[in-house]
Amino acid sequence: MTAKGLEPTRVRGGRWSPRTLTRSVVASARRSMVPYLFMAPALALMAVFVLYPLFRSIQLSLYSWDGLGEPVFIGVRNFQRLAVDPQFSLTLRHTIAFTVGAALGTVVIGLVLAVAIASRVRGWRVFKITWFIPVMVSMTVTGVLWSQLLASGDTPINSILGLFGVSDPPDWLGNADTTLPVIILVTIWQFSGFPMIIFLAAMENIPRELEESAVIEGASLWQRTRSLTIPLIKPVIAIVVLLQIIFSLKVFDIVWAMTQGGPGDSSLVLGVYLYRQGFMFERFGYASAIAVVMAALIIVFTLGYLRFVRPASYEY
Amino acid sequence: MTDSLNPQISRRKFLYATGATAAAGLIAACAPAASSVAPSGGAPSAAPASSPPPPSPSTPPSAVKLTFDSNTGPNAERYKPAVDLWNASQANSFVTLNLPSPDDNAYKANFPQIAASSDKPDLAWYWVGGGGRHASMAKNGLLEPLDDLYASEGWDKAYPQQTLDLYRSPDGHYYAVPDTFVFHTPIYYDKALFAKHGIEAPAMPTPWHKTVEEFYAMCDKIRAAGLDTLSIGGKDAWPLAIMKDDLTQRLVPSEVQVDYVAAAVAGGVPKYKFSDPRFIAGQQAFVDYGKKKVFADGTLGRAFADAQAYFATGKAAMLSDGSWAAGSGSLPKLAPNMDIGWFMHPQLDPTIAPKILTYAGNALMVMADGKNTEAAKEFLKFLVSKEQQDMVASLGVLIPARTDVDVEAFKKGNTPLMVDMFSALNTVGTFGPWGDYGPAEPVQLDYTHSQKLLDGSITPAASAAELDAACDKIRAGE
Repeated sequence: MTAKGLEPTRVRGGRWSPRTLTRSVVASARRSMVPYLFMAPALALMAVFVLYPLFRSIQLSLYSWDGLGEPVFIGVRNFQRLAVDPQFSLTLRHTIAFTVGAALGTVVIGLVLAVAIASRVRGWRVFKITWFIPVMVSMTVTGVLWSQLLASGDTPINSILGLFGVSDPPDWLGNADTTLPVIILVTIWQFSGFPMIIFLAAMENIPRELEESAVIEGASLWQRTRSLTIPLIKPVIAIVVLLQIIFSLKVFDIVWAMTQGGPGDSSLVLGVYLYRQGFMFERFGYASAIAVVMAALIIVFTLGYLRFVRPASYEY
Repeated sequence: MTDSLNPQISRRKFLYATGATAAAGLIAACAPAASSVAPSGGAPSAAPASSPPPPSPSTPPSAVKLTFDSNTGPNAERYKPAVDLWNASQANSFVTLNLPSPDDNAYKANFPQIAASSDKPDLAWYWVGGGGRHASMAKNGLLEPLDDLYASEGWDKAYPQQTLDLYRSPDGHYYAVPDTFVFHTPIYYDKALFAKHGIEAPAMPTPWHKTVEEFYAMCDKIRAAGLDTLSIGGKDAWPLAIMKDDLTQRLVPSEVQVDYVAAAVAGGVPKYKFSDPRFIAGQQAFVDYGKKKVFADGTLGRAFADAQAYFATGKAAMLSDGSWAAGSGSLPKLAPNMDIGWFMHPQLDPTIAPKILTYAGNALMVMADGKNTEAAKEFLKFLVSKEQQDMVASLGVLIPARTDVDVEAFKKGNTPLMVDMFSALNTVGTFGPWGDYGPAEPVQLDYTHSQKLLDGSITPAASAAELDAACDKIRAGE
């Protein structure tokens, strides 16, 4: 663009000069650049730690690679193999069962706790803190701790069960039938504090007048919860359910710490299967294909969920 | 709020302060390690009482700095005094011992990636085997050939031929040297507990029950006494798989057992398959162990370390573990007042005498294309020298791999239990496992199947068929 081609704009004071014009353009560019400069560090981090690994995963899923030598391009063969891999379909079923159990359990218990605390039951402060503490503990620590508590023999859990007449408790983590349900229960124990805190925050935003009117009208706690609280915090519930589902689909740490996916394959979930294939079977290409399928599942589910559930917000 | 409570700070001052803090942090991060051992993740740091006095931790300015990776546990106990001794005696070389992972499984899985990275150590302890990982590292040029040292240091004469054969790669080179060896799976028992309940354990020279029924009867007696039976880390799977190898040896002639290794090698031509009825019978013997309640309750949920604790606290009457458990840092430390005895798994076929499974894959290796390859080789020569192997013998932690070690020093430095078991090796005889040396897939399948066989989710025949399928693919180069 030539100087002549620049159409000078009138500046304050009514003077037209190339210098003021240049200044104006630079200032305008600076203003428009500022938001991008603020975003730059975050974008750079995202590019390095999210986009690049994602791209590499997709790329690697098209190769056969033992992690050490030269990767060999095999096209979509890893995905074709996944489609007929019976262990993958078993793992997928376990992951879905874990996701449904853990997400449902944490949200329902979190909601019950939030309602109880919001209605100021006796000892609500203790409940609030106690139920949130596990959320802050590392999943690996939780896994190791519960593995000890659930071990066979004279462990605290079995001793307590003994008080209730259960003389021959199952081998919680050594029995293929009980392993996955037990891990789901431990996950619920650990994470129901998270929805509880979010729901509590949402309940705090409900105007007191609404609650008081319902009380004056003679509504019971159950009626108030069902007809007032839950509808008003529905958008928050929808988002928390989505987050819990995403967390659950990606689960690895707690399963690895408690059972390593065993005994056999009885608690094998996608995260553990991916690790086994990559680091134990030295099939990094296949493991990447599992990672890509996992990511695709989460993205498709999230988009579908947001489309159908449409979490709206309320104006009070 | 007053200014004294809310002091204002200029942007310039803030930037100066931030810059100074960052610079200090950078300098601190770049400072040399204060110690020659760089443990991570709770690795044991205490040296055994017999270790030499700690040398000066400072690095001589002109010294070549070497990094040496190992796993934790007995190996760390063995290498720490060796590294300290080397650093104290060398002016031109300074070794830092790294323990990258507190967990053996994680070290086994992750070390090949470390070896392939730019952050690789100069030399390392790793398994020759390791589920095929050592072979992969050698094949991909990550390891330095050590043939010259085998010739110049006389290593080709210091180790048994069986071990040398195992260490020679298909390309004819040696990429590792044996440091220590272990054997599996002695059954440890509490002598006092057995005596109290009138239970008799078999002893040398034939430390095994002549029939499996006798062994089952002993287990029944243990349960009747209100005790749990054989503790083993079933959650980790590999202890089960090794024990399964032990039982297979008792049903399969040795030439068949050896042949299983060939089954899982690319281009291998095995004579026998895993679907051989004798191999399946070995798997079945393992399943029968489960049915007859030989294993302690909760075996599949109990990790390797928990299994040791279960025995050491007197809850289980027996423990199935490797020879390392008899080392001074293991069972004798966990149960200092327990008088521990040992015996072997029973004879299953009257024509095949039980042997002791030995594993010679505990090895040292030098990384290829390193900056300090020659210096690393010098340190390696020191580690497997006769003097150092004698020191290992006297440490009471592990068994040195060289055959020319000072047996008297070994007897003096080790627990009576270890000495007793060691002396049985020659009397009873040994054999090698098929697992671990093989490629990752069949080895890992075998591990998982060990758990599945016990919980009934796979049959011995189906397990053998899956192993055959995996090996067929490997031999076909898929």
